[in-house]
Amino acid sequence: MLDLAVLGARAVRRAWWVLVRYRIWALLHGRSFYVVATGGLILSAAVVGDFISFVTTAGLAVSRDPLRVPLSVLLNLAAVYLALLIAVGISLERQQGTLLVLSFGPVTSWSYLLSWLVAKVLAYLVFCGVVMVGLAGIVAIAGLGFSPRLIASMLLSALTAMAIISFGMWVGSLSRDTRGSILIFLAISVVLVVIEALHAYLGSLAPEQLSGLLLPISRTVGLLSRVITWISPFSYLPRGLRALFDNDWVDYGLASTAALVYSSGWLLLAKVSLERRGVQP
Amino acid sequence: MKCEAQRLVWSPPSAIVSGKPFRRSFGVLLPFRFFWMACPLALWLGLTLAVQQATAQAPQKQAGMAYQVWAFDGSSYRQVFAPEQTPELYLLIEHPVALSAHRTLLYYWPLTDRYMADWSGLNQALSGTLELLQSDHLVKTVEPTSVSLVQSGTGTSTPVVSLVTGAEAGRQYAAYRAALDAYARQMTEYDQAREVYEEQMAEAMKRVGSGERDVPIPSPPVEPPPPNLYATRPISAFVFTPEEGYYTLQLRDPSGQVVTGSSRSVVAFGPQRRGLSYTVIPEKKWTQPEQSLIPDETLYLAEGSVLYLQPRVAQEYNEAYYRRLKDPQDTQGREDRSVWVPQELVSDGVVEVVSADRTIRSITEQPYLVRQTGGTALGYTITEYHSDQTPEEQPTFRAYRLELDVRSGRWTLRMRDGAGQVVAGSERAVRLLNNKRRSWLYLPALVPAIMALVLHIWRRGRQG
Repeated sequence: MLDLAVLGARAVRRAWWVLVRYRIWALLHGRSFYVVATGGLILSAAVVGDFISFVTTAGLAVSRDPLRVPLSVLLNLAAVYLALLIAVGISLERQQGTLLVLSFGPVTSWSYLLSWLVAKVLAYLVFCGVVMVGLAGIVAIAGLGFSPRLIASMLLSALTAMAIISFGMWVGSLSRDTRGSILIFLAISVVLVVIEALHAYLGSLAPEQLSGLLLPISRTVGLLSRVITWISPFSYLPRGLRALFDNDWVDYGLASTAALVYSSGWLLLAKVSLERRGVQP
Repeated sequence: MKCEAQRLVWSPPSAIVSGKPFRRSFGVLLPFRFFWMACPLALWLGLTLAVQQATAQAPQKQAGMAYQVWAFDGSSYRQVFAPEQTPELYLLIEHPVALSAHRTLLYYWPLTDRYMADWSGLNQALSGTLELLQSDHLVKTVEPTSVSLVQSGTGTSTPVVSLVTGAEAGRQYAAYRAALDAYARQMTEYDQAREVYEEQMAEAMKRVGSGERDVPIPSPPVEPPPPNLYATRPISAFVFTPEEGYYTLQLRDPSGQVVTGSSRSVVAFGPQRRGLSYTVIPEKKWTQPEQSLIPDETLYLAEGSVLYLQPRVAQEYNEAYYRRLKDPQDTQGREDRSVWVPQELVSDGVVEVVSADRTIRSITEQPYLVRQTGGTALGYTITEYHSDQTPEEQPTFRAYRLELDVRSGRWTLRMRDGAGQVVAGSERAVRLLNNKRRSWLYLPALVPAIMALVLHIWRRGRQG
């Protein structure tokens, strides 16, 4: 006699895999994926063009990786795009009743969320593959070198990019409709970016300029920025990329481990949110 | 089976069962709401604390002990301030270090997050004997001596700074003063000669203006060169050359007591690796040279780029140690990172340009002269220096000139020392960028669009 629990677990696994494939397939058949990749490559081409202009004007540039900036732009763009997509996707499935239908099938809240997460991380890797081809073309035209380290950096950055993607997942599980998802995602992003920008600006001022009210503000922003370094989903990918570019494997190990723990936290929160919020629109 | 599947399904949420509407279940919003509540709270708390600290404008000064250290940083000597609040001193091995002990007024300056000294309020030099201990065993005692920092080759591109002690310090300082006095005398004479020359020149111009022919043109006086020696006024300091390891350093006063606040842990460290760095002077911006410190770096050039390379010995140090050597109050350096420091110039060798394991060019070091172009327009020219052509001038710098007269490509740069051996760590990739087809750079951006099109056609083919 067959064990019903084993059969059930198998059904959940099969359903999970179907969901993962469906989500990747849906993404690859959409337009936005290619639009974002094209936009990212246009930006990269502009940055590389600027670099060539600089070298032509100055006569020289000494650099380990002139592709560092375009690659960072591309990968951050990909991670934010996928995070926004996951946030919108979950709330859309709730809004359209897909979530309700799925809840009566062999789909648990874990398998549902993990299908999103795994699909988006795989989509991130596909994105890396697509832009890698484009970047290779840019590099060949410009005469820059394309080191294997850059390819490894792109692929290994998936672990740290997961922090942004899982954050998007939590936002999606939280809100009732797509508009709410987008607003929450943008609001939190803007707050974090403004604090970071303010911190960078105040940090660039000379100590003598920090008088009056600027000093306490600078201290407070510095404190907030230090906290944000750990709580902001956007801080893990740059940290991981920096470590990869600098061949700092200890730092990369720390950043990716922290990103994994951090992503697990968002996954857990997303599960709690999803179960409390319910599957109905 | 049906029952089992129902059990596996995430239990139909209470929201469905109870029909609890979305807006009422605030529980899930808790982290989000908490974030928004916590932000202003943290801001207010931070502001309150910071304002309280900032209102204490006048710092409280306390008499304390501080060392002024003349420490070698790999290329030169620098003065380092080590108050008693910083318990560790980081020093480079194999180079003498000088410490002078002082009692002064110390205070914390919140704007820069540093301890400072009010030297004008109190500056009492402390005498006694400096003791170096290792595992509580006395390994060295150092008596104070006269110390001066001497820089020879001042005004050249390769000045050398050394620490001179004892009677030699006094002699060097006296020599510097004598050279300075002689220079002042020569300058006075030069000024007088210059005045005479200008008068003669004005007279000659007047005669030429009045139509006179064969007017002798006076020769301008030659400006005397400044002294190529600089020495600081000798001070009394404790000088020793640290060996690699961890020590404790303390000052024992003439009565035999250890001076309060004089104890420091000393970390004497050496380089982790040695290599070769390049100071790269682009002809287009000779006043803004670039540094290439590690072999991982690539030199990117454009068509027609001309470079002047100055190879230097480079040493890799622990980042935290090196930063604290330069500033004992530094907290930014990390012990798991390293930093490359360029040092003295290397001139006895040949720089090679290699392509596919074949040396295509060997370059030797030459002296060069930089001249401002005439007229009001900005600009300069860099020409090879020949002492027989311009004996009154000194070369501006010495370097290896690199010019690649091709349109694009990739090469490797390396240096062979005087014995013909390739210097370890001297390899650098050189790439010539293609600046002719810059608009073509946007073509690869079409790759995703082409992929989308291919996928779409394939899908349509499968469907129909």
